[in-house]
Amino acid sequence: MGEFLKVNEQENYVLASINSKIYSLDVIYTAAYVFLEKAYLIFDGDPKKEVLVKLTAKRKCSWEELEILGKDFFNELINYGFHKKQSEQNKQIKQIILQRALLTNLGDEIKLEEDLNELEFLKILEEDSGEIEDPEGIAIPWEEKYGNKKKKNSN
Amino acid sequence: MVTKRKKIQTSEREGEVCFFLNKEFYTLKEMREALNDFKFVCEGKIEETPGKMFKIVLKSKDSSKLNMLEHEFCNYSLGLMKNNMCI
Repeated sequence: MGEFLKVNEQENYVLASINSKIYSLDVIYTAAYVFLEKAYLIFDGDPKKEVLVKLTAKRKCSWEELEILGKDFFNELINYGFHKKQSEQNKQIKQIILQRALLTNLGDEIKLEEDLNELEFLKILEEDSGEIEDPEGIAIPWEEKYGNKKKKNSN
Repeated sequence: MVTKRKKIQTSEREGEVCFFLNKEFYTLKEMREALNDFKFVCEGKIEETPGKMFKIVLKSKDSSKLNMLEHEFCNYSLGLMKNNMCI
């Protein structure tokens, strides 16, 4: 681990050396972001070869604690590196699911528009129904037309 | 006093802290934004040196917190960069 981590107990920091061919810069930034509460971070080095991250603990730490801090940082790098790789692999599936979801919503919108058009048509029909002539008396309800006669017949 | 730690440099005068940050990892925009957000705590300036480093000089209004200022500034700049990356 000595190659990747250098602990300085006196100055309360650990220097992590990261191979940027293994971990991309955005993965390193993301891992570093998690440690902003625990430590002060300073970046240096060459982003194409080796990235140096100096983690100065916010509270006074022992040698072991500083080493654990550095190791935790590397664990976090693996965590986000894996997450990035997985999301790259699942990128196409995610796109398909998203497209499907968006299309489903679009379908609903079209259906909603159709429903609204139908509703408007029915309203127009209702409004116009008063003006329609009914010489044969088709529009008169059954009860109005025959209800009284039945009562009379039964009597 | 000037101290050199493997590529990460810092120097302190009275009430003032001067340090260098790598241009490859820190952007001028975020550092300016951080400096603006720190204006109630300190005054400062960012200089673009010909090499690969930015020179940052911070003058603290409270000299007892001078040690923390450099680190807090770096953390804050990193936080801003991460936020902008997310957006």
